Amino acid sequence: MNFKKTILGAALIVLAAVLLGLAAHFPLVQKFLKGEFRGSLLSSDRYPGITLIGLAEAEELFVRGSALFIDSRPKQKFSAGHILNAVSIPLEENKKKLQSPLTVPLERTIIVYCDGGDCQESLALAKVLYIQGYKNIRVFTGGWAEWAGTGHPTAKNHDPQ
Amino acid sequence: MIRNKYFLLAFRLIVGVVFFASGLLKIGDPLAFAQDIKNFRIVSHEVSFMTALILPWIEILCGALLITGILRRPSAFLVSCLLAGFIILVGVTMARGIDADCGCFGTLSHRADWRLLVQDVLLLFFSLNILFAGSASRKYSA
Repeated sequence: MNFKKTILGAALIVLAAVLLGLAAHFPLVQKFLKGEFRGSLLSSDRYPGITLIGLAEAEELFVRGSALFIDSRPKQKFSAGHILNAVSIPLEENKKKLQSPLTVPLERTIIVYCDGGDCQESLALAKVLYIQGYKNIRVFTGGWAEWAGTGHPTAKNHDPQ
Repeated sequence: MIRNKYFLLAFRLIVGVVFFASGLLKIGDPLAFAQDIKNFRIVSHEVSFMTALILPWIEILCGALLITGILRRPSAFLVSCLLAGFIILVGVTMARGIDADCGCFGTLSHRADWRLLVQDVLLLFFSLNILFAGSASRKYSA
């Protein structure tokens, strides 16, 4: 086997793939360079009803009481501790469902969270809920870690739904 | 290593079709694929994005080349490298207890678990056979 030829051929294939990938998704690359996907890999064109929020906005919506907090973590983590009055909808149990387990109106503001840090369940669940019809969804990026770590109201083993 | 020309042809077609289909299913929604890569929690946000743009094209090109028999060894080499990487990635993900979709077939993806490991090991076996097939098999290859 001519190893040098093999490597050269493989490099050519990779180069062609790089050129094709950049050319085919040029608008996305432009948006990325402008910083659109730095916060999350979420296309505002595709999911216009989903926005990312920080602790301050989550706190404001909590105090106002109009939004529903949804915990996307597994049930065990929810039972061990969650944002006060939050509802447990584990991502794993709901991502294949076409109908939402929620009974609240579709126009209600929903705040989805997970552990915080680099957890991805909240964003994935937000997309599922968006497809299920909810169009006013916020993803609290700080998640449980930031909420509990800053002494905000929490509860254990409680699910109002 | 298997030298039978019919087996080698079957291996090429199987690996080629799997990779071609896998790339094609991911190409339409690079952001969703980037999110799948990010869910493994191994590479950065930026690397996830760039990988999602390029990897499906590598799969499509390698798949097409394996099916047609053009640049057979370079594409088998790349596919083997990718499969070895996927096996390590899935193994590490399982060891860390992360529950993630593999992202391998776009919306048709399934969970990164031992079944995926078996599937990848089998495909790696096929691609290594294509890569190390002797020159004698070349004249018979379709």
